[in-house]
Amino acid sequence: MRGRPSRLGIVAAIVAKDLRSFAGDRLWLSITPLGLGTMIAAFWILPGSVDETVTVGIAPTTMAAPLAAAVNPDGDEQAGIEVVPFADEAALVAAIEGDGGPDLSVGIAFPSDFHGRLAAGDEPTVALITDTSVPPALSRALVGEVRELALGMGAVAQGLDPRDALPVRLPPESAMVVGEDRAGDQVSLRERMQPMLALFVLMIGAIALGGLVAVEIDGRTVRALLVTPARAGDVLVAKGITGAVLVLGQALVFLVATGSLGARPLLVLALVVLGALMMSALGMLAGAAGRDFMSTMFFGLVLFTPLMIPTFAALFPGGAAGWIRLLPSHGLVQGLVGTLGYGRGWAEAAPHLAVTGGWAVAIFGIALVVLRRRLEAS
Amino acid sequence: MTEPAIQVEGLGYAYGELKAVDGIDFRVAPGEIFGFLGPNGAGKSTTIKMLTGQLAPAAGRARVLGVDVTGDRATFQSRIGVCFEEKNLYLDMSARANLRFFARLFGVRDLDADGLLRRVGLADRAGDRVKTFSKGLRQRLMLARALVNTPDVLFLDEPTAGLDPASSLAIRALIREEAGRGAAVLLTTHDMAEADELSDRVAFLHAGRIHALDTPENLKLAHGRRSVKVRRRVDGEVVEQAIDLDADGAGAQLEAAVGADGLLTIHTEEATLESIFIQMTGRGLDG
Repeated sequence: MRGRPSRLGIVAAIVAKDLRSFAGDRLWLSITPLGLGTMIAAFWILPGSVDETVTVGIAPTTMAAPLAAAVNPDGDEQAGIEVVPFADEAALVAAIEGDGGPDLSVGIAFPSDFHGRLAAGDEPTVALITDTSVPPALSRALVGEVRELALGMGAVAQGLDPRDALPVRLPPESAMVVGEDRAGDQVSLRERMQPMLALFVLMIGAIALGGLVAVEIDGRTVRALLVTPARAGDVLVAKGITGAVLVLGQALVFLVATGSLGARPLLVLALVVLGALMMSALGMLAGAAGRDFMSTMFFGLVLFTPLMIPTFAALFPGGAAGWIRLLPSHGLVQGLVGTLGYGRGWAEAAPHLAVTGGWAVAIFGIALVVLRRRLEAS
Repeated sequence: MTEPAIQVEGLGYAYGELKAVDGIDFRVAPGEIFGFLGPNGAGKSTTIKMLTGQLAPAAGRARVLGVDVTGDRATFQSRIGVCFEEKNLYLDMSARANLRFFARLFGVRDLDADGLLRRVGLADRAGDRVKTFSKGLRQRLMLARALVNTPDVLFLDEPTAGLDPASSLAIRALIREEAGRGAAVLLTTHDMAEADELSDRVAFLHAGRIHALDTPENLKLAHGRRSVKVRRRVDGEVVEQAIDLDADGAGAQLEAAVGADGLLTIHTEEATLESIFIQMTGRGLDG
């Protein structure tokens, strides 16, 4: 029986065919779970908490107790500084150089007669030893801190409260944390890496879509489609749906497997849907440019690599250049960091949603135009 | 009078400055096999692209099954079948899955895929992936795909190019069957013998223009030269004599040659479509 097919029927037929092709392709069938599994494993392997204790080496051993008293006069266990004693400066330097002892970056070496010289009114030299990983700004801050500690230790040696060591009384301090105060609960590396891993997952699905598009164009099967009642628009819609299913499906598996849907599932979903739309569009562009798996992968990397930059900016906040904000994935990454890392809600995420949505629609529009031209030219 | 399945008037298309198709006119009736002959670059593929809705004509008009090709394409595309020269099949799908997928695009709900595959001699490979098929098997599947919607017009672009004689024979038989049930067939081919054997009418296309359009028989009568080649043994040597049957006194010459001693063979020599094509266009079909 021959009837005029509906647009919906045509689109459904193409989507079903594409998904069957994907499911029947051994390459994608192995790459997809492998990539997804790697990202999920990487998430769980990354440290989920932040160790806020700073370990400081001290020499000679006799200075450990006065230093601890000066650092923490109230005996608070949460002070965050662990003092590791060393017999002399040479042993301390060897430990900081990494001789297999405790993991140390900073050490303070006092002269052996520090207290006596202090009592005699001398100015004994205290050595601050750091390894190359300590930034200069932190070294300078530590010098000031050591001076203050030395004063405090002098006071302790004289049986005084170290807080009385300074010649003046400091005014009361007040610290303001903008946003959620996560003191004692800092954003862990796992949380910082989460947007990057999510973007990788979206990318895997998008490249799979690109592969399907490339095969369709390069194999000229699209010519066969376009002499049937199927229109170029039907093919484009079908590819978009296939992309959404592939990309979003994998992203959902990742989010569920990493427990990322927890607090604000709808907000996370909204961000990921927009991200999937953006990545699908880029996958279609990569497919339109590519001829086979390797060339699609190449064009995919060219398109996707710049989008990863905001995820590095999220890893090292404060160090990002301004132009990173112009990248299409910036809003998506910031939205995910805010929602998943800092528990922010719809109000705070709204600008990121709007920017991501705008980029997603724009890139999808470009992809449709390019792909339509490519389909019609094939 | 029956409406033509394909009606082309002043059809033209240019790629930049190059006129690929330059004002051609022809009609194809239902049930007719129309041979479209010409060398590479003659404009055959561009014409088929316009008639199947892949390209919009730059000049003139074309109607397929009564529908203007620039109008509602889905209306006529649902009733045509196209067999491309390139084997653009889904290689990772089985032969059966390929047919079923295209049937869904045409809205065909009761496709007998296995029956269709049997018709093209692929019944025993129905479930195999197309990537395992030889060129000949793929070509058979291409033809089967063009038939999933029982088309009223079949566009066949070099359907037997590069095939073994058995595959070519099977495909020619199928083309005749389709024409026999009333489908109009537009056939492009380099194989003049095939065109001669299959086509009810042929058109010679060269540089975007039709140089001749008629039945193969009429073309041969109108443009060919009839001759007889007689071979005799004279004084121990073989002598060959060509007699132009259209020349004055040809009958007497032939009578004398047949009655002479030492007659070995007599061959009639008919004009071929290829020789007529070369005569008319100044070039062969291979270029």
